Amino acid sequence: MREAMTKQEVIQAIERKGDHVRVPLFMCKWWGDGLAAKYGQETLDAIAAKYPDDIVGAFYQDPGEALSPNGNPRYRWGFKDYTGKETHSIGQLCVLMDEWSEFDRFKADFPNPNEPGAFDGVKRAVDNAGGRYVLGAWWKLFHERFWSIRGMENLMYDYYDAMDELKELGWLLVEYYKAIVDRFVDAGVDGIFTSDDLGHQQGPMMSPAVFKELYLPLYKEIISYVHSKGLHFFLHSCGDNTLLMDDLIEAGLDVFHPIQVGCMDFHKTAATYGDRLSFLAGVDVQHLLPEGSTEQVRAGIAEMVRAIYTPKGGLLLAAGNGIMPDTPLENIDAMLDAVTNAV
Amino acid sequence: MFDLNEISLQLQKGKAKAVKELVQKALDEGIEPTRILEEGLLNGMAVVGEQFKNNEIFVPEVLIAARAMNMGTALLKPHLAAEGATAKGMVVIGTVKGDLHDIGKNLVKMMMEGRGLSVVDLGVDVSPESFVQAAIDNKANIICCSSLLTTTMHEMKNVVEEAKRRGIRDQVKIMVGGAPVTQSFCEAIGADCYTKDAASAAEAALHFCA
Repeated sequence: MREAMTKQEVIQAIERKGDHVRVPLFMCKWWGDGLAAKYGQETLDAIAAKYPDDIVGAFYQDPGEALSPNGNPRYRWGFKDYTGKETHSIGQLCVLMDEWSEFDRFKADFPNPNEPGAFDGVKRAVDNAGGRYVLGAWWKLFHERFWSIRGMENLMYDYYDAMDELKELGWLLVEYYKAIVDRFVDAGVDGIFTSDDLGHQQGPMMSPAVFKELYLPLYKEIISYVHSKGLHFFLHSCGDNTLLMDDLIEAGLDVFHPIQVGCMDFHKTAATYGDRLSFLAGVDVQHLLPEGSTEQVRAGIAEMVRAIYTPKGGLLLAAGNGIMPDTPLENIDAMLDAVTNAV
Repeated sequence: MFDLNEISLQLQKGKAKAVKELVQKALDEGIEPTRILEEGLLNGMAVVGEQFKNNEIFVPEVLIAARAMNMGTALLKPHLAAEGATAKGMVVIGTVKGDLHDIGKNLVKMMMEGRGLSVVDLGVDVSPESFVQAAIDNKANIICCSSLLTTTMHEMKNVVEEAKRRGIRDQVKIMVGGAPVTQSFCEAIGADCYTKDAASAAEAALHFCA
């Protein structure tokens, strides 16, 4: 079995300061919905055990959307009875705030970032990391958080109809996230991982002008705060983010995930931004893994490594997103073997 | 003389109130409703579609343009009905069974309406039977299927098969799209058309209805 990378090696890879440094692995075993049901959790666990990650992900228990996850009814982003609400554009969640006229009520019922017990799992993960690099993590930063609160279509209109309210909500989120970062620091993590899905298949979800006006100041603030605590900042963002990459780099982003295959060209992305940014490159879960042969899976990963890796670092590897249940088990095994032996 | 291009320009900027006022003004000046629709509103949405395809504008700008168009068409509708004007074609659209993602589907719908097509939106998690029944009920020219997931895109083949089973396959074109869908997948399942973005889908649909 491959020996896990030390924290120091991972930091060298992230900061591109290594000397023939290996490729850190994180979230390569991102099992998508339905995968365990198809193959059985024991089977997946047995595969996972053969390929340990170099980076440990430590997710805190974040507030629920409409409902509390922990018995405290106020530990959720919603603030009223959502029974019978329509599902919104990603299908699972309610539109939490239909109208901006509800904003004062929403603000008054903001979740408490210092919720007792929410970091117990993080502390256990750090204790069990065995000296490996630990990423404190949560899903949904600004854009994803806005859309989970307002619904996607409302958010798109808000850029023109309610920009001031979005900015106010964004700065409330910044303050909330700073408190969360403080708790991660207390728990002893080495970096922060979060998500924002800023792109669709062919471009960003919002204009670069809107990104600059609304999101860039928020990103700058939270990333500089994370850096002030001596942590790295990782961002997962699906879709084509090319038009936003310069802004994300200006904001101080350290590691970008996944360079979604089919949306962004990892050759061009690495060539253009690789001297300023590191990549947690994601193996394609849409076509390569479910449709390719094991040889094609290995070849695809080798191509990604050739395009992005430098001896100083700059490349980490992961699954691009959740591995779907139409993926053959032998392809999952081939992928994990290939990433484990990438360099 | 009234400049219909001004309606188009205001629509492209998403200025709903201005579009509404200009459409009313055009009507008041006696301009034919079909000309206002074609040279003002649909012209504007065609430009929007092209700009979106070229990444010159983005989803929010398409939405506010479509909102402006809807304000204009709401004013025009009774006049168009009185003229006996009809849509350029009928499309039934939905996200396939097992899939709840609708952002892409909604964009395609807006773009198609913006090209003068009538669109019946079946929503998400739509069974093959529902797609085909709606096509029969609405005498649709096109069935348009959307999917975001590799695990649900195969439902599109079931739509094709259901259209065959119900005997309407030669009467409707079946268009497919969504993040995991490709041209080769479209051909493999026997669908008629794959497009990679919403504006191209609307163009293709218009072509099928010509």
